[in-house]
Amino acid sequence: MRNNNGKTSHLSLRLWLFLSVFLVMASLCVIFGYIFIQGGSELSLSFLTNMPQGFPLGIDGGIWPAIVGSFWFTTIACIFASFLALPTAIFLAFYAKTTRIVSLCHFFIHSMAGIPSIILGLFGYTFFVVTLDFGVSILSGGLILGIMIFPFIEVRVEKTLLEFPKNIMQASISLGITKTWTLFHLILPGCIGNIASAIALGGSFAMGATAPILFTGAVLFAPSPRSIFSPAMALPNHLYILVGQGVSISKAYGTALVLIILLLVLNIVPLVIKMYRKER
Amino acid sequence: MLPILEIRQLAVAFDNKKILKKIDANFYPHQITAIIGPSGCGKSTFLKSLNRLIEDERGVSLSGQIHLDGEDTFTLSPEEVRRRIGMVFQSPTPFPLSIYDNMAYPLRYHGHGAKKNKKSLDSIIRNKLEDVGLFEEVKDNLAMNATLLSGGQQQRLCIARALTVEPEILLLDEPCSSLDVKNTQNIEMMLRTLCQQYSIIIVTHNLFQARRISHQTLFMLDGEIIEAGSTKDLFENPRDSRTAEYISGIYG
Repeated sequence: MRNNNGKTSHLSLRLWLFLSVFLVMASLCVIFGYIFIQGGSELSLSFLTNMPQGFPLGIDGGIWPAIVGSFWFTTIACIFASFLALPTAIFLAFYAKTTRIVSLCHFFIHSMAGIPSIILGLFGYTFFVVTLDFGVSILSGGLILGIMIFPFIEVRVEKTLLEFPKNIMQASISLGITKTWTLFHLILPGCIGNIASAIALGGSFAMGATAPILFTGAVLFAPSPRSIFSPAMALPNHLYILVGQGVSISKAYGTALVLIILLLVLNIVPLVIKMYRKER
Repeated sequence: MLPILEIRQLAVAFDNKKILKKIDANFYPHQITAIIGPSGCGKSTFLKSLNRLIEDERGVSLSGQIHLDGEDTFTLSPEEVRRRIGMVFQSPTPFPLSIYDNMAYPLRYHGHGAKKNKKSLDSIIRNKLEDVGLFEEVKDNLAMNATLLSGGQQQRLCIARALTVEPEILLLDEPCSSLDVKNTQNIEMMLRTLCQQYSIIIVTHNLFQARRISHQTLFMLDGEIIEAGSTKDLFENPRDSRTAEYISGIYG
C-alpha cells in the first residue's frame, strides 16, 4: 500500500508541475495573442508616427510623443539606477568588510523594493518636482523611476558578481594584482552580459510603470520632448487615460500592443548581447 | 643554507577560532618542501598566509612574522608579496580568456602591456609555456579559450601563468588532487625541474607524492607543526610518534 501511495503522490506532483508550467505559458500566450488581435488593426505607420488628435484628444491620430517620452523616461531611469546599483553591488559583493554591513544594506535595499510605486510618485513630486524645482519633467519622472528599479537591478547585479568563481578571483589576486584591477579587467568583462540583462529588465519594469510618473513627469498631451526638463507623454499613462476617460478602447489596445512590443525588444537585447559574446 | 622564507610565531584565527597556533618554520631556496597532514589541520590556511591571501577573507586575524629574503613581508605591500610568492590552487583556475590572454593578463598589469613590448610579451609567454611543457601542445591554438583545455593542461597553464611574473617562491595547494596519474606524473616531473629556478612549497594529501618529489617535509596537525626535516629522515626515522602514526596511515 505504501508503495502505491508513493506512486500516487509522485504522479500528482508531476501533474501539478506540468499543469503549472502549462498554465503560465498558456496565460502568457493568451494575453499576448489577445492584445495582438485587438491592437493589431490599429497598428500602422501613421499610428506610430503621428501626434494624438481629435476631441477628446487621442480618439484619432497616433502615439509618437508617448513612444519618445517613454524612451526618455526609461533611459534616464536606467542610467540613474545603474549609476547607483553597480557600485552598491560591487561594494556588497567584494569590498564590504563585515557581514553586518552587508545584512544592513540588504535590509535597506529589500525595504526599498517594497515601497508602493504610488508612494514613490508622491515622494518624487515633493522632492524632485517641488523641492529641487525640476518641475514636472522627464528628469523628475526618470529619477523616480530610477529609484524604483534600483533595488531590482542591484540585487541581480550583486548575484551575478557573487556567482563569479571566487577561486578565479583569488588566482588573479595571487598574481600580485590588485582587487580593483581584477574587478575591471576580469570580473566585470566576464559579467557584462548578465549586468546588461539586469539593466534591460529593470528598464522594462520602468517603461511599464505609471504611478511613479503620474505626478512627476507624464502629462496628458505634450509634443515630443525637446529637453529632459520638459514634461512628456508616456505609453502606460496614455493607455491609462485612453481607457480611464473612455476615449478610445481600440486606440488603447494599439498603445498596449506597442508597449508590449517595446518590452519584448528590451528583453531580447540582453539575449543578443550574450549570444554575441559567446560567439567571440 | 639561509632560508628564503622564515616564519616566526605565525598565528591565524577565524572569528576567534584558532587555526594556526604560533608556527615557526623555514623554507630553503631551490628546494621542494611538502606540507603534509590530515584534512583540517590548517595546511591551506598556512599556505594562504604565506602570500597574504588570507587577509582578504572575512573575520580573519593574524599575528607573527614572515621574512622573505630577510624582509618582513608585513612591511611590503600585499601585491608585492604576492608577485614574489606565486600560488597555484587545488582545482585549475584558468581565466575565461584565451590561452594567450591568460598568460598576458598578469604581464599587462605588471607593465609589459605597451604595444612596443609585443615581442617581449610573446617571448615570455612562449618561455613559460615551454617551462611547463605546454607550448608544443597549444602553440597553434593560443587564441582558444583556456577553459576548453583538459584539466591537466589547465593546471599546467596556471603554473605557467604564475611563473610569468617571476616569483621567487611557488606555492601549490594540492595541485594534482583533481588530476589523473599521467597528468600528476607530468606535473611532478615539471616541479623537479622548476625547483632549479624557484623554491617550491607544495601542500599534498598524497604521502607518496611528498616522498617522491620533496626535499623537505613538514608535518602539521591541529594547527601546529609537529615535525619538519628532510623528507628522507621524516619518512624513515620520524622523531615524533604522531608523525609515525600519520605516515603509516593511521589518520585519514
